Amino acid sequence: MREVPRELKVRSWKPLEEVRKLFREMFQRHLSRLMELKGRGKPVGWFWACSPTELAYVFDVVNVFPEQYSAYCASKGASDKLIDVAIEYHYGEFTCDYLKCSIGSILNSEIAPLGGHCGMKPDFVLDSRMACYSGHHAMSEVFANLYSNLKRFIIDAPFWTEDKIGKIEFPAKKPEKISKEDYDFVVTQLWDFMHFLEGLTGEKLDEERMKRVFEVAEKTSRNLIEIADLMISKPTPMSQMDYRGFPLIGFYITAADYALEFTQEVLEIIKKRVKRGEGVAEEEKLRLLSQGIIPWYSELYKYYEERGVVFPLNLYVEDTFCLIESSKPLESLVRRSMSLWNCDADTWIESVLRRAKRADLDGAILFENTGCRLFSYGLRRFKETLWEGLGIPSVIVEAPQCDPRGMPLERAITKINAFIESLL
Amino acid sequence: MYGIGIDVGSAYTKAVLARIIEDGQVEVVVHDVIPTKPDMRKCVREIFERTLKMGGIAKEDVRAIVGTGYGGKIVQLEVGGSIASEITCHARGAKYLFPNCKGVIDVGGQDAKAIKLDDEGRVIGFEMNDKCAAGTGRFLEVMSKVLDVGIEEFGEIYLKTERRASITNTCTVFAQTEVISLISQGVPKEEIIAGLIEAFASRVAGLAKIVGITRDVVASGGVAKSVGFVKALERRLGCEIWVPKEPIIVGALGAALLALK
Amino acid sequence: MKVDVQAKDLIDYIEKEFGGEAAKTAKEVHERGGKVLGLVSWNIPEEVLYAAGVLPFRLFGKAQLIEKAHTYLPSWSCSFSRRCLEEALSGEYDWLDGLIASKLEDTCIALFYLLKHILKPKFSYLLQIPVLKSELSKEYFVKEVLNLKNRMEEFMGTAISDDDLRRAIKVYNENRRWLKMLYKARKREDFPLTGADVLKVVILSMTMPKEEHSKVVRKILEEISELRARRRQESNADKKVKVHVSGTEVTDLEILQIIEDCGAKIVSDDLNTGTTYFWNEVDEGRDPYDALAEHYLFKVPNLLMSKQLSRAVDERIEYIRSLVEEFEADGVVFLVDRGCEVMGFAYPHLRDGLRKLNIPSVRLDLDYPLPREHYVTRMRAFVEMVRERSA
Repeated sequence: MREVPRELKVRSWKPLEEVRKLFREMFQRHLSRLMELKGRGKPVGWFWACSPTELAYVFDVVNVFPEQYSAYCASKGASDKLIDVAIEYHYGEFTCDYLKCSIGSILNSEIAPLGGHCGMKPDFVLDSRMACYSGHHAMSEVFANLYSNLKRFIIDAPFWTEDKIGKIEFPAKKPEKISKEDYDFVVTQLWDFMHFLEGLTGEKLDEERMKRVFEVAEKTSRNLIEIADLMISKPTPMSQMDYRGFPLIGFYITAADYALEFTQEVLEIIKKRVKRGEGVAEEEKLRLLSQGIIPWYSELYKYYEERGVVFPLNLYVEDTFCLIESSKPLESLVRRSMSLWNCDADTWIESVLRRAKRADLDGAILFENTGCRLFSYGLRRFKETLWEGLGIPSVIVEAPQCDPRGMPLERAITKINAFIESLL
Repeated sequence: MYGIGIDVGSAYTKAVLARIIEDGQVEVVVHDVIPTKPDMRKCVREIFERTLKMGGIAKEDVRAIVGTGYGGKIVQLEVGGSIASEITCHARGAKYLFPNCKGVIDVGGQDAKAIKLDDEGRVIGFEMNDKCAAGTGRFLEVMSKVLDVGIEEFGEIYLKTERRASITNTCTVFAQTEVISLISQGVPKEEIIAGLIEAFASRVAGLAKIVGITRDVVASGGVAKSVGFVKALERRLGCEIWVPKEPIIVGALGAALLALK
Repeated sequence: MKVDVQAKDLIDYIEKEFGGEAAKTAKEVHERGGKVLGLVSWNIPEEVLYAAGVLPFRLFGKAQLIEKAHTYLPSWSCSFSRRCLEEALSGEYDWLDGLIASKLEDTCIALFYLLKHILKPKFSYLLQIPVLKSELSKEYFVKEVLNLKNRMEEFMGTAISDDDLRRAIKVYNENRRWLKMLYKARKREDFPLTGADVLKVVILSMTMPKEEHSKVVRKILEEISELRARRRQESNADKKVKVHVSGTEVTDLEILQIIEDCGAKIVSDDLNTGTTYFWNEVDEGRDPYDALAEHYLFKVPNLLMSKQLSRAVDERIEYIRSLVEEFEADGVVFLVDRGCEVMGFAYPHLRDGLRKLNIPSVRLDLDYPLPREHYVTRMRAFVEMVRERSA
């Protein structure tokens, strides 16, 4: 019988300080790489989630990520002004926050962190329609309109229906099948992109280098998946405040040495913690699933972990992972586009439910990301599925990923607390 | 030859009586402002009669009437005449008062407008703010209630206060939430008010920038009377802003000018 | 039909003879044993469905007040998706035999899966239409159109020959020609139909049997000629300002009526529910699969698809410019739904592009129920401004 406290008490919160330190160091190394390559006159590319970002390491181009820049702005409390700039210019109020932040940093770079322009002005943008139409394809068009000399290179992947790929293993993103047609369609475009990069850099593709880069990517991706599996342990070993930094790696920098080293070290730390039976919360009162893009400005996770409510399964973070196989590099890049956003729900739901079962969950918090249609339109259905499939109740919280005014902490907590009371 | 312009706004109804004098020039005879009441027809009739009385003329002396504003149609129904849009009227009125005027920024109760004029004073572009955004008299009213400080004091406070709280300008409801949050955090009211004026001005300046107004700007509407607001707007736009003695009647003046055309 | 009928009666006639509410006609087809598939997206190669003997029925939804849809959709969703879902949850689409959508745009994909979940149709298909306009995409898309044909054959239990497809293309092209003729007729001062009337005619094309619809348009054109012959010249104290309407899925007649009540005359558009649906024809001289892929990938004006290293907005601005020139429009009215992603991304660039060409524009934010005063203020100001410019 669970005790029924009237409110959750604050207890000892044990995030992994070491992980935080290592993350900062890794990020510094990433920035150094960017500056060094820029200094050598290498072209600057803007890349999106689920795109073939490993190729940036094969061709040594500067890889900048508007989405990650926007998340950074939000975590630094600088996103709201940038969003307002975009809205004043009459971009849709309900378009993706990443778009509005990025645009704000371009139109009004003086008030944007890191000098605006998402950190560095682009020479090209890889317009990958491999996750969402709006987030990536439409945004790339906007950038091509704002920067007159921007080279906008399009890669288009199919929308992966159950017909096309059967069921899919999550988070490795291994489908039951891919047709030759679909495979050839995407891979030909990947080759076109590589030729484009050859033209831009003036350097031919180095196959040996590509092999090495993908070997690093494979190791990193395996580490990430292992970390995800360890997060499901009881007690869950790492805070979401740290785990939420992992999409940077999963989406964008698996091929980097500094990412591999980071994941290796973190994996060791977590393994040790799991062995000791130690978790982020002194005592786990509730174990919840988290779905939806994390509101980057918010300390919601910390608030709940301090009170013994933990998040062993974060579907959003896990969805940024993908098993890269160095023996099949191009196929891996194709599989990367099989994220939650670019697959119909029936393909991945079974795999997700199996994971959720292993995680021994009491409930779920679903973030309804304002402006993200692919996520938000399917959220209530996902809520029904969790209930019908696993008896897991959920609460939906309105949460734009970068605009703090959409989810004032007190309001979110009131709603979630009411939900939690019903679970206890 | 007299013409009357009546501008029925959400908060105030304004009227201007003008006439053509010897060399074809137009002269303003009288103007009047009364609060807009729920019975708008009565309101229009009242201001019409008051204007005739103040001008010492009879109804038959009036060649034409032009109504404008939120309740422009009511003018037509009640006293006849034609209707013109506020945009055209504000442009005309501003140009009359400041012949070099190239842009008009009007902040009324319900909305804000930025109007661009060519050298002849014709409207070549305009932008109006979205329904919920800051940049309207209503925004300031809401905040005035939350802070329990009269709107008339806002401008002064802005001029006197160095630090300004950072407040959103795209949504009145959001801004209200932010203000309440700031109050509970103990931020001084003056800083909040200064921040509100800043947000307000940036919103309005934003409209001006989209339309391409960069200089020779006239501000109209009740809010233009506030020195603090005008100063904030000047800072945002980076240019001097001309304010008529009676900024609230610019629309009615323009309507009267149209009546005499 | 009588020859001295008034212009308004033309539209009433269409309503009466062809089932009034679009669904009635399509429902009648279904009740008579025909198959009707609901189209969630625009830009679907309907000719394939026609060749299979299926009626493609574009879903729009007409509800003004949304109640049930909010159980699934967030408040910022576009009115198109809200209205469709409202209809589905109210049982208005239960009779559909299936659903088709394309992967072009997130809202349609998400809506398609929601509708599938609610209606549980026997047939559903997501068309893999590419966003990149290239030869590789076209090769891929040709195979995809073939896929669609195969699925239709399975669904209907009949074979579809190349000739069936060619016949379908002919029927569709004929309809496209009639609609284009109707639009060209708008160039005349004495064109008797309003913007709302014309929109109704185009939307009917998306929801009723194509051959029937061609007859409708043909009749309208004949009647218009007759009306002109007998009409006295109306004098207009104030000449109407001609406007081109730009936007995505506009199905509300009321907004067009408001525009025309303010001294404007709608002469052209680039709406998904307007010219982009029929302006260009499918090439009848090629292999039908190739022709269809070529058409839906390259020839339908589309903000969501681009050639490599170029911008869709540039093409759209050129398209608008060409229509503004052809129809001698004085300005452009943008209809932007608050929740519409497509316009949310593209509008600022369309506006700026038109400004560079010295074409004035005004934006009306669509919100339902429509706040009339909001639009009247802006339209009136725009009309006055444009009149002054040309004075």
